[in-house]
Amino acid sequence: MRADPRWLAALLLLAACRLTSGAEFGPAQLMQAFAAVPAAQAHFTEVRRSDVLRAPIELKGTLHYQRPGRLERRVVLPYQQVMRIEGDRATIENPARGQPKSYSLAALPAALALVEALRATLAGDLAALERHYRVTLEGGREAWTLNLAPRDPALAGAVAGIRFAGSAARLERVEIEETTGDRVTMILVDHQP
Amino acid sequence: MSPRAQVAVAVWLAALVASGTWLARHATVTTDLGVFLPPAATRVQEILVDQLRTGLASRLLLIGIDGVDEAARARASRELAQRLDANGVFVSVANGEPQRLARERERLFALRYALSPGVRPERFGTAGLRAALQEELELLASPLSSLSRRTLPADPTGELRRLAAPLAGTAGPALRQGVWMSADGSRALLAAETRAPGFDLDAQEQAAGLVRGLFAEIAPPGARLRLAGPGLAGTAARAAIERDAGRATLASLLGVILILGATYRSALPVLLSGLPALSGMVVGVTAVSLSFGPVHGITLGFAAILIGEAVDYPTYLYAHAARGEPLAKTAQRIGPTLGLAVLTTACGAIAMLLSSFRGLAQLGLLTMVGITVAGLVTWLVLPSLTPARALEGKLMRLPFGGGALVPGPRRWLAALLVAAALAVIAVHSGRLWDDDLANLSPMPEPAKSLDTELRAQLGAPDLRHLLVVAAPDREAVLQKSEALQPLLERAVAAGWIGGYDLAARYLPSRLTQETRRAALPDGATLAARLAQAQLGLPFRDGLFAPFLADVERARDAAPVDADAWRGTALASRLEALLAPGTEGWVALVPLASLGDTEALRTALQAHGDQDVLHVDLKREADALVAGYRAESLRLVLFGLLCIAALLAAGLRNLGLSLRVLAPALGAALLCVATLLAAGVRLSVVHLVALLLVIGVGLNYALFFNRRPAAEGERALTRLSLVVAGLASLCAALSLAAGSTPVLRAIGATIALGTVYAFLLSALLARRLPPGAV
Repeated sequence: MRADPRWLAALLLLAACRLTSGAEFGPAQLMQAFAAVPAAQAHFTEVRRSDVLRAPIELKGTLHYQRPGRLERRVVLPYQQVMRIEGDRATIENPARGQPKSYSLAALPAALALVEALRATLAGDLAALERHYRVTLEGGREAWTLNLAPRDPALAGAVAGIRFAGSAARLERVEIEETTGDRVTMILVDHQP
Repeated sequence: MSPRAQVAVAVWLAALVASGTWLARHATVTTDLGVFLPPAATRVQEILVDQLRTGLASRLLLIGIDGVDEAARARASRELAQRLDANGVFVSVANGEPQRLARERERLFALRYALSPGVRPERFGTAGLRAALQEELELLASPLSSLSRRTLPADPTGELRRLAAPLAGTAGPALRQGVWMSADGSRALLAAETRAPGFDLDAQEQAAGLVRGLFAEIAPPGARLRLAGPGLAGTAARAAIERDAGRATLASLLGVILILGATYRSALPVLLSGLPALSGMVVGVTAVSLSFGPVHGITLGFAAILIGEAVDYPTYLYAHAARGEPLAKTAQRIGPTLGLAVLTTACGAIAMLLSSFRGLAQLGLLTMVGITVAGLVTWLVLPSLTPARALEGKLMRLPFGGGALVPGPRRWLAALLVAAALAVIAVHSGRLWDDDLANLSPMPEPAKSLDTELRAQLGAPDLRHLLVVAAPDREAVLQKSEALQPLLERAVAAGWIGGYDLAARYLPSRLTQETRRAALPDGATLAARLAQAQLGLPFRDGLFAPFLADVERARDAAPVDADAWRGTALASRLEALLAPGTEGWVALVPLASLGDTEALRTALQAHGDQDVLHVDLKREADALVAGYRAESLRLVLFGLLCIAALLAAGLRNLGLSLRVLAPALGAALLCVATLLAAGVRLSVVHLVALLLVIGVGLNYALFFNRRPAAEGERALTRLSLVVAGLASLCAALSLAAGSTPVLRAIGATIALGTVYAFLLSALLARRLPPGAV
């Protein structure tokens, strides 16, 4: 049987593409892709498993991001809660309770490390990310997994490890393992610009 | 030696031995600023003085680590903090690491039900507990879960969070690699609080030395240490003054020895010239030590300058000696003039004795005693100690026709100069005085700017604005503080102030503690309510057992007292915030970054507690300096009146008295005018220097206007005056050449004054025909 040269060429081309895209797609390329996104939002479902809980709790809501560092996390079920993060300030508001509470992230290193993982990734800021974590990437552009290992577990305090997964500049899954053994899984769907 | 001279020498030796023995046993020199502050002050001033001397701000050492990369800097910060902590010199060391405050947090946690304003009956009812648990669940399920997760089982009502927020203070610098870094990320920052108060310069110096030493042990190559802080500034200033004063002393000593050596062309008179001033200093310090106790370092410094005038006395004696004349006879001849020169200076000093500032009174006594002793030694002792041979080779007139350099009488020129000076002073009359305490600080400029920079980067409070709460006893002052708290919370929320600190946070009044204890239900009730509150929430069964146990314990615990904080940074903070005063107790409420003074004042007025005062420490400090300066000025003027009276009595001739007084006063005015024209504002330091100018000016004028016994004596008088003037100028210029602002101000003022006084004395001198005195 004689090989069709066109097939062969197509196969070679495909292999070359794979090869180059595999070689080129590292944390820096992923960050570049995120850096090009000025704003994004998605619906999320978050499940937390913890020793202090009889059963996992599940939250539903939306996550909003706006360049360079604004995050808004709206929980609608099973209760309503809005959390806004801008710069050093984190504000939590429950409409039923009124009076938002405001915190300085600088005074809460564990919370800062956690917030920074999400915020720096969405902003495509690799330097900020690497300040807190050792960053490794698996997979390719269309299906990647970003692993974040805290540089100093004693300092990060609460976070044992974080794993983001997604495709291109789209975050689809967040997994957080805390030093207390708590695990958080967040699935993001219905992405909108 | 005549019998009278023998007695004089014997008395002198006895006085020196007695003084020396006393000083060796009892003399202590303090550097405590207290003696330069008024004693009978208001409560506010008492607080100010206390804050300056021992307050929290005075004990803060600001530390920066520059150079090397971020990771190495962070490591150095951690290691340095750990080593400083292990040492007993510091109460606390902060570098942003959360575990640094672990002991304080632990104590807060243990005492939370006594300390937290959140402890109210409704909070521990079923509905309150339900709301608390719901809130805790929402926090747990948020990115801020670390705020709740670990303390949840023992503290589901979140009391620790409420308490720990003020502990961390306002948001410090940003954390990088887990420690504080400046905003541009180039410098690691630490703040250490010394155990010793700020005014204890030796301890402060030791603390700074310790930081430098430990840093040298752990520093990676290329890392640089930056230190600043009030205590450090004090020690640096002291070191600079000591260095400068040492240099100036050496330089002026060399200069004076050269001038006198060239005049006497013999070593012995040069050496003996130092005796009167030295004797005066020793006896004067003894007098101060006997009547005041410890002598202040500043008193010593100023007095050394004022008594410097006494170095001229032997010059007047030796230079006036005619060829072959026994010195005892010379002394007799110039005695009346020398006596007036001494008495006028002593008289000016008497005025200072009346000061309510102990520092000024000390200075007055030291100068008065020192100058008088120096005069007596010159008059009665030196002639016996100086063999006639020693002066055989001395100059008899100014060399190289120098006599022509001394201008002849020209009244119109003097009048013109003084008129110009008055005009300059009138033009500057709006900005005559500098009452900024900071400008009196002898800190060199680079150190000042580093202090400002580190303070800004650390966000360290400047502790300028305070509320002062006063009451007869501690319980009352705590209750008043607690009553103030809602107003303060409102002020923070409205942005009038950035934050505040309050003793009642760490030590609530007994009444409040009782109320909180009463709000805690008994074990069975609490367990039942908690079970009810937990229905429908996903918390594990039995999770809150530690909570139930801790509440039960809190119900039986002894009330929290100041002792509860022993061994933590909060002990010293509490001490700084709450202290017994002269009448009753005083609580201080430091306000951070005051934004709206008017709103706060209005709210305080509405609060209606007369025992709560708002104090601006900077303004109080400036007022204090102004008061000090005003009193010095009053006393200097009063001293001048005394001098004028003395001259009128001593010279028995009003016209002559005025002629003597005019050059001294004119020189002071010219001095002031020159300083003002050069853009300098006057402070206490200048006033002290002007006092010397007046003293020296009077001496010149007295000798210029002295009726010579013979025509040939004019040349001798001119010689003595030029030599004395050059010696003063040399000493003053050595001071002016230093780098310490205070010493430079003194040196420049005296140098100008010496020249002006000499010039005016010469211009206004009366040329009397020779005759009997």
